[in-house]
Amino acid sequence: MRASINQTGRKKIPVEEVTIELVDGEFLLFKWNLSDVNLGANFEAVLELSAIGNNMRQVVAVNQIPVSGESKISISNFLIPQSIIGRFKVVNLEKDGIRLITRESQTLRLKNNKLEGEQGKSLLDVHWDQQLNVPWQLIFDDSEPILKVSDQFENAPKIYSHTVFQTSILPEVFKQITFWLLTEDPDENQNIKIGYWWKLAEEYGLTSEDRSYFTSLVEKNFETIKEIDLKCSEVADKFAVRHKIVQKLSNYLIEEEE
Amino acid sequence: MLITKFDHVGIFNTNGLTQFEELLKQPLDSVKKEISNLTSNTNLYTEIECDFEVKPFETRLQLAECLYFLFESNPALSKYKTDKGFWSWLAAIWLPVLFENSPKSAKLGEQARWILDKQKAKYYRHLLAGPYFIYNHHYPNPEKALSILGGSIVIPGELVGQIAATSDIAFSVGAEVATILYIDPLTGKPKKGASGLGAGSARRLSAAYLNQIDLTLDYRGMNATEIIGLLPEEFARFKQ
Repeated sequence: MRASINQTGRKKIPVEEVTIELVDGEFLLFKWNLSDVNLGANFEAVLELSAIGNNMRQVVAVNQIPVSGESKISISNFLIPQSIIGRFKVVNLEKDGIRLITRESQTLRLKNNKLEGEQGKSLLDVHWDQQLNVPWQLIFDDSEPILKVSDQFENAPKIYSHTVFQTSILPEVFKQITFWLLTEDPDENQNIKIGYWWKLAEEYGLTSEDRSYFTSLVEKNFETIKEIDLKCSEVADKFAVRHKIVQKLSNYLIEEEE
Repeated sequence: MLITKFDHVGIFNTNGLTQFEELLKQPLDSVKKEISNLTSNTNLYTEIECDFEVKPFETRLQLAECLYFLFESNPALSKYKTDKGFWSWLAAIWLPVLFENSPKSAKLGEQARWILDKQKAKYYRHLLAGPYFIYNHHYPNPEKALSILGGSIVIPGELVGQIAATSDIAFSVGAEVATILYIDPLTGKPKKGASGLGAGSARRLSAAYLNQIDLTLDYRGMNATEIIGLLPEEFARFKQ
């Protein structure tokens, strides 16, 4: 997993300029419409596809690229095509063999047929952060929640995947996300994940009446914030009960003692 | 050596998966005793005809090879390559064999080791599907990924935890880099210090190096020797 901070001087290719979509489950269609094709003298434009059980690189263009175009790529060897995410990058080929990335897109997600729920990309992206002084933190970037896990000691994957960590933080994470939904009322059209978060919150007891009531409150004073907080606690509580969070934690600790 | 021959594989249905999930909450000894009640109860799974053997293997590579040829010789199984019910039934069938002669430290561990969880952060942990996916991707040169295929099946070890956890490394030249650095070519086993926390360890390779240079360098477009040539001094002892 890559860090979220870009301090390297690479140029971002705007998200609307490149797309990927599945065609018949056997092919992937990559389309581009670039606002800037002045990419230097010696470059390769590469599309990287990453999925559960497979990775693939496809060189889309070398040294020159039309402003717009499309490329149909066979993905018949992919185990779960619906789990594909992409990364389009422009690589400058140095004389010493070094391949420097000069431009890149944001993570490309399939326009169609993508997996939701337990399969494929999780609703909640997780970033490792070497600067984070607390074990975890929830931030809301690009109109979606992102979980940051401290990588100060270079063991973020271990922290994140540990049963004690997951069972301890997940209800609180869900509570904070519900609070964000109810207080910020983020635009569902901006990010498809927001719609899924609303649906998830509804599954755990947040009714459409609750939603309209809380999001319509123009001024949020201490009392209304307390009310929202209480509602979010109820939702998180149901989430914890449904997923037997305490039992999972307890089972794990007992097994560790054996 | 315990070898059991089967004329079918099973695809656990929802009820089968639930019962397996519940059983996995029990202590290991109970699971070993009870598991055959699940894998022989035809109400809990659908049968697909095919001949195969369940037998002990020393490494993930050997197991993955066996699974690869199970799919190759039974094209009808292709559509189950990522099926949760299929992999979970297969894991249940293999469970007693995997613990045969295993070290005392071997544990059932988390559910994702037995029931395939198709989340990106978890699928590789499945004790059967995980090695198979890696073998399948690196075929016909799976030995290049020995760093994540060479370990014990039931105790995959730190190398698997560090390298296989990042699919961009596990399913690319990154796995070969880790193999060259950390696997002793004479024994096929990890070199001393590869799994630790110290300088040049696998943890450093993934978290502190490959995942960092991935921001600026298209390393997956380079070959393993070129990448190893770029590694800083702390990896020097593993380059030999």
